[in-house]
Amino acid sequence: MLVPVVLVVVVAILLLVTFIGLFFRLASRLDSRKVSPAWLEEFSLESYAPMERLLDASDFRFLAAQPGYRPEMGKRLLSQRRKIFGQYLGLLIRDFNQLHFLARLMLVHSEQDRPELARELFRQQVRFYFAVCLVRCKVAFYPHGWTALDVPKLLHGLEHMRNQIALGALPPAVGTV
Amino acid sequence: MNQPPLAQLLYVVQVVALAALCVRILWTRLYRVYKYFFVYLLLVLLQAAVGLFVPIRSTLYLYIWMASEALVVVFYSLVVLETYAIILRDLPGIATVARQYMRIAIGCAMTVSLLLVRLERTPATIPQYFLICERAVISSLLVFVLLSVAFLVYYPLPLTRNAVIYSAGFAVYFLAKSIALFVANLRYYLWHQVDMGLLVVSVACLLFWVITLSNAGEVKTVVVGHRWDIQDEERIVSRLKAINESLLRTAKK
Repeated sequence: MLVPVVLVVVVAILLLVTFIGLFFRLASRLDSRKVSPAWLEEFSLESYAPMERLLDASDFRFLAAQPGYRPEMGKRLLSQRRKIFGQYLGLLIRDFNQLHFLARLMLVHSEQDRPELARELFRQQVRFYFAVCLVRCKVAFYPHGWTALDVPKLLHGLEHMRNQIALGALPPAVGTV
Repeated sequence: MNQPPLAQLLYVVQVVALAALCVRILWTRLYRVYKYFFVYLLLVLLQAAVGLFVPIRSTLYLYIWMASEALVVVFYSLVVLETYAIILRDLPGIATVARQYMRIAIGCAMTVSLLLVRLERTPATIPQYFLICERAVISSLLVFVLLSVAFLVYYPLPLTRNAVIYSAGFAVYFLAKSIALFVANLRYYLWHQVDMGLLVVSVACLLFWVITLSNAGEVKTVVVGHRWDIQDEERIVSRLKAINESLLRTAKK
């Protein structure tokens, strides 16, 4: 009989913490001024082009082929590159979240019911976060031999998000693809 | 009343807080917006007032309490549905999504709630059956409120301060009541201690609403910092096309 009571107490604490977290998020939502059309004007995927090359194995092979190379040099380069890659990834996630917020904002204020857009936005978010988890695991295992980094997949998720915003921005009568 | 002095004091404070909230709702004319909530307050006030004149530990009070509590539970459901109907009205863009989500939320809430029945003792008397049913309904409402708040966090809906305060108060109250009823259903002899704790939470929630609900709280906090017009949309689309072209060039490398 003690087990159900302990279970109830644990669940109650978890629920209370969840509620507090949700209400805090509700009270301090993303600042819409940060996702204005002006922000979208400045936004560019080209900023993330370096990500595709940061952990390219050819750079490390080139370094290893140089005279006077020592393994510590390779490790230091890898460490620096991984750190920079992590920072880029953080910015990519931030921009994805802002784009996604923009798309949800358009959906909420749409004058027509758009369930297909809502479903697609949710799918894109799940795919993007799955891709981020995959990339993080791959970066963690990178020193142990794995070399293929699926950055285009992440950027593809961002592209989908932009397409959805483009579709959402125009009224259906205009018929964008 | 045949209760300890502290319980009697809390009971009186609860009645006073209920009356004060009813007056506040009337004074601010919020009863026009939150109709079911107002009727619920009147019902609970009447229920509490009965306890001042009928001995709490009598059979008469027990049956009056069960009958009125059944009505109160119905009004809990109506109040929760009323809140989200008010929040989600005039938002055609997410009408279908909201409807589907709420159906799923109700299904999940009922499932979670019914699973807990297995942990509770097999009831032997009518009041014990009643408490188990009440616990099941309140737990369902608790999970539903939690899932609904998650929906409100996910979509940047324009919300009134009153709606947030309202939801927060009910979330805390349902959580306390679910725990109280669950514990009481496991250990019936703990009912009076549990009831005391619930009285404290109830008074706290009522005072919270008295202090925070207001006319000014009905002004919607507009999430959009500006209005989106056709020129903004055209700029967004042209920028999106430029980005797509750039990405296609990168992908071909």
